[in-house]
Amino acid sequence: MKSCIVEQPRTACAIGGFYTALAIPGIVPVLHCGPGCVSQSAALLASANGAQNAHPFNEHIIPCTDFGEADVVFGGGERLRKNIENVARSYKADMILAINGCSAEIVGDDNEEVARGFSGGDIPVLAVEAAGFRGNNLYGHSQVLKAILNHVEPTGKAVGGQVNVWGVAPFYDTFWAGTLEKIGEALTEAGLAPNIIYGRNGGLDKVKAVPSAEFNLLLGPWVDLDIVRLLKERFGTPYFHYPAIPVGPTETARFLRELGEFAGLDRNRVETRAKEGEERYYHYIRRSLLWVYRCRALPKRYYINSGASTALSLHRYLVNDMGLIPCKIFLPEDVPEEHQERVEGYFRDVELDSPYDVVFTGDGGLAAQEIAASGRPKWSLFYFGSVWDEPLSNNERIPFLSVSAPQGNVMAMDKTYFGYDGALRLYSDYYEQVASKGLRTS
Amino acid sequence: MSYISDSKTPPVRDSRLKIGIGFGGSVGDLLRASGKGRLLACDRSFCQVSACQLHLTLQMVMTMPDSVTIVHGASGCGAQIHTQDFPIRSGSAARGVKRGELIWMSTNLGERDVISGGEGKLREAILLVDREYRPRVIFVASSCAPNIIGDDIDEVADTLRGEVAADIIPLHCPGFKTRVVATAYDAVYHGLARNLELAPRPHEDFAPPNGLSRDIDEDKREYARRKARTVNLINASSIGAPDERELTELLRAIGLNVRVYTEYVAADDFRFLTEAGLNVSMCAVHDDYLLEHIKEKHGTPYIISSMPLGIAETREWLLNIAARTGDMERAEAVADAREAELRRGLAPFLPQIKGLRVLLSGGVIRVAAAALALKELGCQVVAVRPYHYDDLSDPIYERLERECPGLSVNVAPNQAFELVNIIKREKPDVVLSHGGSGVWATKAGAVSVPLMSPNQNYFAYTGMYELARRLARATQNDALQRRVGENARLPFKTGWYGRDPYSYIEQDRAFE
Repeated sequence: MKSCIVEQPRTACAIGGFYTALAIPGIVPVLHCGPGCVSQSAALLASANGAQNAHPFNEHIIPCTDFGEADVVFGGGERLRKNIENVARSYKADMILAINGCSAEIVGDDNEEVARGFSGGDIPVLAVEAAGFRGNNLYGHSQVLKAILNHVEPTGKAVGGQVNVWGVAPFYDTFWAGTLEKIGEALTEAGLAPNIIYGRNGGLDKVKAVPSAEFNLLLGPWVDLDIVRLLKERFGTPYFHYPAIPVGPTETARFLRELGEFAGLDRNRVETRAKEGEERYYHYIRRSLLWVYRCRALPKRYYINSGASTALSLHRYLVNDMGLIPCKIFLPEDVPEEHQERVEGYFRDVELDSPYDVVFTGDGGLAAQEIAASGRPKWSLFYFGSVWDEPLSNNERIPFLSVSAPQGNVMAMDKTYFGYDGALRLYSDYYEQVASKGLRTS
Repeated sequence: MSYISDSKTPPVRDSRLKIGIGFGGSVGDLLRASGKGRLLACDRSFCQVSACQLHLTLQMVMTMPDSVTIVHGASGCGAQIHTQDFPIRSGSAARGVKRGELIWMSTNLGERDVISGGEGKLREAILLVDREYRPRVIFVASSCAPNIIGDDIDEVADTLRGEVAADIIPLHCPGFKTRVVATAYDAVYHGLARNLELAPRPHEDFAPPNGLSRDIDEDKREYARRKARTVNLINASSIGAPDERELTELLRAIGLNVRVYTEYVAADDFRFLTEAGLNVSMCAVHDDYLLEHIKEKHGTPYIISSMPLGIAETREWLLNIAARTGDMERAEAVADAREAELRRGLAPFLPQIKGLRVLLSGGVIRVAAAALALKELGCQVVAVRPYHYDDLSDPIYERLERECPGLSVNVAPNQAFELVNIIKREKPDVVLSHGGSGVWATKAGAVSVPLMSPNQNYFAYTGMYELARRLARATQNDALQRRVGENARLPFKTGWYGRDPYSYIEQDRAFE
C-alpha cells in the first residue's frame, strides 16, 4: 500500500526502472513519458546517489518522446514508433524497451502494440509499463526484469554450477556494481559459475543464459523474489534465497555454509574460505583496536533509515559482529504488504534478544522526526540513512553514514560492504565518523 | 492584458512567444525562420530526453527561506530535489540568507487517485505541512498526472486559505504543457505575483503622511528621490551570488541603491519589490512576464537587454541603466576604469587562449553572450547550441549575426546525439557547456569548461577575467579529457557521425 503523503521520498517513481535496463549492456530504453522524468529519477538514483552515471548509454542520450500536450490530446504512439525506428538505426542497441510513464498510461497509449509492430525485426522491442502512480522504482525494476525475462527462450539444459544472481537493484543500491563483482568472485572461489546480467561484465548473452542455470541465488529480503519465482515457473529452475547480502564474518560464513549445503559444495573448501576470511578480517580489526578504544564515548545504539536490503545487511553485521544495539529501523521504500512479515522476521534473526521496531513506510522523514524527539543523548547514537538524514546528524552532531539512496556527495566507484573485506570498509567508515564528530578524544 | 491578474493558470511560452526547439543552420536563417514564427514547426522525428518546467520551477521556489514545497504528483516528481539541497544551502549561505533543511512533501499519487482525483490528498498535505512545520509559505507545484486528470489546485488552495497560517502559492508546471523549460519562469512569477503582496503595508512598513508633518510635499519628493535611486536586479538560479555581487558593486559605483530579487528572498520582503525606480533583468530569457506585470500594475519601468557578459555587453548593460537614472558620466568613467584594469589582467592569458576553437551549449541568451565575449578574447566560435529559441532573444542573435556572420546555430534541448556529431565534425578545442553535456565533450575528446556555475564569476569584469583564466587552465593540461576520450566507448553506430547532425529536424517547414 502506498503511503499517503510522504516527506522527502527516498525512492524514485516506477519510470526509474529504466536504470535496471541501463545496467544491462546492450539494452536501450526508449521512454514514452514527460520530458523531465529522466532528470527526476536520475538525481535520486544516480547523480546524487554515489556519483553514478550510466555507460555507454548515459542518461542524456536516452531516447524519449518528451510527452507533450499534443500527445495528451492525440496520443503519442506514432512518435514512440518513430523513435524506436531511429534507435535501431543509429544506436549500438541489442534490445529496445519501450517504457510507458504516467502520462502515456493515463491517456492510454498502447506501447505493446507499438512493440508488436517491430516483431520479427533484427532487434527485439519489448513493452514495459512503468507509470509512476503504480509504484516506485523497485516496481519499475521488477516490470523491466519481467519483460526481459519473459522474452528469454528456454535453453533446454542446465550448465553445471551455473548460478544466476538476483536481489540487487542496480543504481538504487548505490554499491551494486562493486557488490556484484565481489559476489561473482566469491561464487567462483566457491567452485560455482556465476551468471550476472548487470554491470561491466553483464549483457544480453548473460540474459540469454539465465534459463540454463542450475539454480538462482536471491540475495536480499524481498526485491526479486517475484523474479526467482517467475524463473522457477518458466524454466523449472530452483532458487536459493539468502535474505541478506552478507557483510562481516558471521553473516558471510553463515551464507557460505548454507549456500554450500544447498549447492552441494565441498565442505572443506567452504570452511577453509570462511577461516581465511575471518583470519584476515580480525587481523585488521586487531590492528586498529587501540585507536577505537581511545574513542572514549563510543556510541552503542543505532538507527537505520534505508532500503530494506541495505538495512538488513548492516543490521546483522552491527549486531552480530560489532556488538551494537538497534533502536529502530525505518524502511522507507514501500515494501509490499505481502512481504512485510517475512522481512521483519529476517531482521529478528540476529544473535541478540532485544526489543526494537521495524517500520515499513514510504515516508523518508519519519526517522529524523523521531530521532530529534527521542530525547536520547545524541553522542550515544549512530545514524545510518541517506543525504536527507544528514542535516539532522550535522546539527545534532550524531555520527552518521550515508548508506542508502540518495547517498549525496559520495563517489561509489567500486565500493562495497560485501563479505569480509567490505566489512572492513564499513568498520572504518563507522569509526572515522565517530572520530570526525568529535567523539574520539585522544 | 495581464495574465497574472486575469488568469488562474499562466500561459505557456509556446503560445505567448515565438519559440522553437529544433533548428540547425546559420544564425541568419534562424532569425528569418523565427521572424516568420515558423520555428516551432521544425520538430524532430527522433528526440532524446529533454527537461521539464517542473525541474526549474522547483529549483527557483525552493530558494525561498521559510517555505515548504509540496509536489502534487506521483512520488517520482521531485526526486530531482535531492541534487538541490546542497546548491540551495550554499546559495543561501553565500547571500547571507538563513535557510534550514529543504523540506518537501509529495502527495504520492497512486492509481486510485488518478482515477478518483488527488485533490483530497493535496488538501490533507497542505494541512499537515501547515501544522507540522508552520512555514511562512507553502508552494504547491503540480506535475503532469494531476493536470491530465484535471485536479484544481487553486480551488484547493482557495478553500484552505482561512484555515492555514501559511500563504499558499499554487504553481502550474506540468512538463507536458510546454516544449521549453523557460516557461517555468512564467509559472513561478505567476504564482508569486498572484499570491504575495508586492507593495508595502501602510503603518506596518512605513508611516503614511498624516498631515502633522512639517512639509508633506518635501517628504513626498524625498520618497520619490529615494525610490528613483533604487534599482532591483532580478536574478535566477543560473546566476550565482558572485555575479550578483559584481553587478551590485558596479551599480553602487555609479551611486545607485541595489536590491536583488526574486530568488533567496523571504516572502515578506516581496512587499518592497515595487519600492524601486527601475527593474533590471540579468538575463533576457527570464523576466519579461513579471516585469511587464509590475510595470502595468505599479508603474515601475524595466530594462531587459541580453546579459552583462563580456566587455561590450557589460558596458552596454551598465550604460543602459545609467541612461535611465541620469548617471551616464559616472557609468562611463566606471566602465573605462574597469575595462582598463581588466585588459591588464587578461594580458597574461591571451596568448594561450587566442585562436581556441570553441563550441557553446546551454541557455539561449548565455551561449550568445558568451560567444561574443569569447570573440573579444580572440577565440574562434565554432557553433552555439541554445536549449531553445524565442523572440526575446532576437536582439542578441542579431548582434551575433553582425559579429560572427554565418555562425552555425543548433537549437536543441539537450539532444546529445546532435552535440556529439557536431563535436566529431568540428573538433573544437573547448566546449563551453551547461550541465551534463560536458560528459559528451569529454567522451569525444574535447576539453569542457562549464558555461555557468552558481559558485563562480561569469558576469562583467571579474567574470571576463575568470573566464579567460578558466580557459587557460583547462587547456594547459588536458590529460583527463584526452585519456578518457581515448578510452571512451561511444553509444552510436559509426554511420551516425557521417550523417548530417540535423537529419532528424524537419526544417523544410521553417521557411514555408
